Amino acid sequence: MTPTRDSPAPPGEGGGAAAQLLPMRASLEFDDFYAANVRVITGQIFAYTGDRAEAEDLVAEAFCRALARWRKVREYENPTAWVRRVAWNLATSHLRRRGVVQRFLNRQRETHEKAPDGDRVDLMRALAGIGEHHRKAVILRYMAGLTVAEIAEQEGVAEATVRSWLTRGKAALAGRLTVQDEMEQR
Amino acid sequence: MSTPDESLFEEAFAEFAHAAELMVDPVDSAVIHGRVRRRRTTKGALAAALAALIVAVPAVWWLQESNGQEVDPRPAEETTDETSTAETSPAEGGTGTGAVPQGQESDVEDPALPTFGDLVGAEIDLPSFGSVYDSSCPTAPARPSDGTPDPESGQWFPDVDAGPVRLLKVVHTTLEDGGPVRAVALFGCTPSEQTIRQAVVVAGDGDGGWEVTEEIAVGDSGFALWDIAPAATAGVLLLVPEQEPTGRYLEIELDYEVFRYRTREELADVTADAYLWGVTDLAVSVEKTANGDGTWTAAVTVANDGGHESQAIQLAMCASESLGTDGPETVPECNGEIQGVAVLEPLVPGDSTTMEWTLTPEPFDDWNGDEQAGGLYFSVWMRPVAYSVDGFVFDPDGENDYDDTSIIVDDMPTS
Repeated sequence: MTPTRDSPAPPGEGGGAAAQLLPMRASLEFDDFYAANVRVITGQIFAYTGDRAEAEDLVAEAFCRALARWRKVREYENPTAWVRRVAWNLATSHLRRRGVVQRFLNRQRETHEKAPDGDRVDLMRALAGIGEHHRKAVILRYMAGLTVAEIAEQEGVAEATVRSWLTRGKAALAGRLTVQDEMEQR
Repeated sequence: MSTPDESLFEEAFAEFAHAAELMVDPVDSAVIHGRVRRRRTTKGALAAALAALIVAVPAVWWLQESNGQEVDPRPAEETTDETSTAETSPAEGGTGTGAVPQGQESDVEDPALPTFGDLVGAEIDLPSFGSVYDSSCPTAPARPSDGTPDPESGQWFPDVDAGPVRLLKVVHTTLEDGGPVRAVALFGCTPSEQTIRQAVVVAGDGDGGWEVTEEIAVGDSGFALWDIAPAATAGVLLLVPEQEPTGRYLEIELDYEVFRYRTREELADVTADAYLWGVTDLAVSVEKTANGDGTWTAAVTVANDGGHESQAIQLAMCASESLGTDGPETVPECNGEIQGVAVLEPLVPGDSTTMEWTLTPEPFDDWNGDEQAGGLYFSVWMRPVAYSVDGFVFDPDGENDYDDTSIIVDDMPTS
């Protein structure tokens, strides 16, 4: 099965003349870009932070920053990657700032949101229980559909490091899902 | 532990991704446009803030014209919580008058002026923080608690059990040219995640207690009143960031405005002229260097990256359980509570101070599960000590107030 991919770059990307577009057109372009990407990225950040409202706020802030410098961002080779990176940086900084894993786990236990059902709950809980780097790598690989090289570039680490994060993350995830299965079968 | 087949992961996550996308409810793009527009347009924020104030405080003094712009240099001396020569407490037989006619407050002669300590625990009727908050922020009467954490003892947050309405600051200043010295108090309450503040003039009620004689401003979502400071000439300055800085998900750079209140005058926007001593961008960074002997050096640098002198700076730190630390201050374990470890001297613009800790991780096999999965963390928070002096204390850029470094398995020597 093909992993989920972010949408391609917005219309007008890469054209020098595009910078001369009228503000209204640029605004509409941004709106299209926003509509095409916001749910995908918010879903990834939600999986990472475990808090839907928080994810929505973080991604909204990332898009605010993109809009504030849209004429520049739209010329990038991959504006989606830029926004995704900003959102992940905000989320990482936010999680560490607030006490990291323990708060995350507590929030999972105390959540009042409508929760996903069945296997999705298991996956959400299992993600909450693995390390930050591992969780990030797994989500970027299997939800965002990034390659190891792309994750390495986003995170500023060697590809070998990403491979080790993925290997350990998948093993930890599998271990947690297995334990949950066994507990449910008893 | 075995790793399951790759296709199982892809399948499970594809379904999970789809479900997550359906669960989230992003704001409309119009909201993004609106936020960006607001950040760019300070004039709009000023109009909104003034409109909110006029609704919140329908008093005659708002309707008067300002006497014009005035440069506000920093005050000559700090006077926070000090009793000025003009003040006398009720216990000392102060001459405050008990019955002050509404709207005639500035005509009171030599009222008793409270200090910070006088108002903590005292019973006083305050303006409402907003009718929806009356049950969680009782004001009729309020019994204000001390809302300033003690940085010297490592407190980062105020004692939330001490009472919902908190006293944050008291400054003494004249509120009109040639007028008597008044006491302006800043109170706060946190009914949910965000704090609301109000500034009022307080004087002795002539019967040993205290009363509000002028309502200056009650903050709300459109007017995030943060701090007060005496104007250098006459009046009290209000520092109003574009958003309430506490209780937000995001730590971002905030624009701000400074207004001056004088009795019987409209609020004047003095952002361009007011002294901004204490309003500056402080930043903290952590650099990790391997020592080659199984230890690392973490250099913590606090810098004043802004354009004004800072006030004192509080530093908080924590480290993972399996990470030994040795340095100028004892670093507590990360247990969910932020704990101050040091108070640093103020920094002038462009100045910085660096401290070093030696990090010594325990052998990898001794790390707990979370540490093995996520690494060992050395985290640092920093902020100026709010409400610690008469002048403003504010760091408009929260993006660089936290940093950390980590040691992960890849850093550890293989045996």
